[in-house]
Amino acid sequence: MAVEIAMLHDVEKCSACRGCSVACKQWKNLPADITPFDGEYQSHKDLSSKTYTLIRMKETMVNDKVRWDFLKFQCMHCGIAGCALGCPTKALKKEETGIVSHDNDLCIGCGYCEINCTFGVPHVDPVTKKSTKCNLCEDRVAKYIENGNDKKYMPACAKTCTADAILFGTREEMVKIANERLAVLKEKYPDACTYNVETNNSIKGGSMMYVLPYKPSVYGLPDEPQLAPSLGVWKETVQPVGKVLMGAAVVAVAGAAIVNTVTGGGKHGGDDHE
Amino acid sequence: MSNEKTVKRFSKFVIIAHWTNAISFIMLVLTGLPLFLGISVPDVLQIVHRVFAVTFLLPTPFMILMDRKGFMNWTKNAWSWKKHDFQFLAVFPLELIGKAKNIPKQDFFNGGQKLNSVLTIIGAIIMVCTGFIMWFKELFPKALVQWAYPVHDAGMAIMVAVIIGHIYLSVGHPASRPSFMGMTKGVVPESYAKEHHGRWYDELKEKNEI
Repeated sequence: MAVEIAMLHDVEKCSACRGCSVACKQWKNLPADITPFDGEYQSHKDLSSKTYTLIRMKETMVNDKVRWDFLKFQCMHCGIAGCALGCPTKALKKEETGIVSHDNDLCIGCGYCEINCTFGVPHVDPVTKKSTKCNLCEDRVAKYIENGNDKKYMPACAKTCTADAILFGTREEMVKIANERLAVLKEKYPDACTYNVETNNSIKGGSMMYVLPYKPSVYGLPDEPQLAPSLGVWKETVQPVGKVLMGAAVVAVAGAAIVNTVTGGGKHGGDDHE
Repeated sequence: MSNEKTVKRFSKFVIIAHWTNAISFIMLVLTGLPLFLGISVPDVLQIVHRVFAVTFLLPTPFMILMDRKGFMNWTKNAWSWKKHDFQFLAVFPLELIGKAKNIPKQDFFNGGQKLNSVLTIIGAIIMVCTGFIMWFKELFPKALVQWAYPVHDAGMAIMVAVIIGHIYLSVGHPASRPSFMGMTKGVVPESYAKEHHGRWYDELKEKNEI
């Protein structure tokens, strides 16, 4: 089995310099996404087909003082990924490394991933009609593993992070660091928690993990991330039963046609009916 | 059968509406089924699917404007279920292999055609509503859009199964094949009307229409 990797955003260390966003643009060769200034420090309100990662900045007034909460928002690379389950052409796939990869050649831009993502991450590009999202620099990660976990090849955002807030390594390492940091944070922040580290929810955690000083909802993340309940019904019941039903109809008429040909049944326009 | 006496069954408006609906439906299945089966197809089919979604809608207003009587005859008849309709359905599997005996006299639409109509009407409403939600997804809550997909797929599977039977009975099945003429020329052989739609035939006799 391939090495399972993960990324960890240690939110308390983040200075919101947005170097990660810039590094992402550079490595992915993405154009600038010019957004209007609407009185907030956060540069981009949401991800787009040209922006795969951004820093969420939230201002909260606490005792007449501004408190900043930062979060590197991007694809969570869920353990069970709604986008991949919803994808009809298997263009999106949860890899053994933990990366949710995207095959541009298989993608037909149907947008089922947009609808079924727990976090609203993928965006279909209006021009190319292809779905887009962070793939955790899959190409770099392949080199990382190939070269015996050489940190030189970690994803562009992690490599550029000046505050050591974005960490990258094997999942095992990252889980260990996350829990150590949680123990430290807990002394100062009673609500501190990890995110996507535990795999006991319906998305089974994720390969993009966080250590958060406050509750996930403070950062605009669902406290209890949920895989769309419609997905299970759709993929496990509706589609298999639907295929059987359509197949049964074909078999029934083919059977009737054969029986009628062989026996000459009903040939006389139903003369024998009445 | 060439010089056999015929009786009028459908107006030309019914025939136009039926074939507009049929072609739209087939195109909708051909452009939609690949996604259901997980086959990668050019993304232009998503646009073709929407074009035929619009033509699929046209027969209803067309019928209401052009031939309200024909439209009401079908919709009313489809929902009137009597004992003889259920009796028809009970012996239908035997009828399918040409072995049915003593089928009770049927209305203008027999029990099977009524079932086909009911499933088609309900199915079309479900497909149009869920399709609208999927097309204009930004207007609806995310959970509703998510549920629209499995419902659209389920509706498609049921309607395809129904249409496979419908097509076989109209062009393949020896006993009911003469009915196909009703949807092309608008008439059916008098003998066919008598044998397959006895109650309708009796009504026509009563009214001295044949």
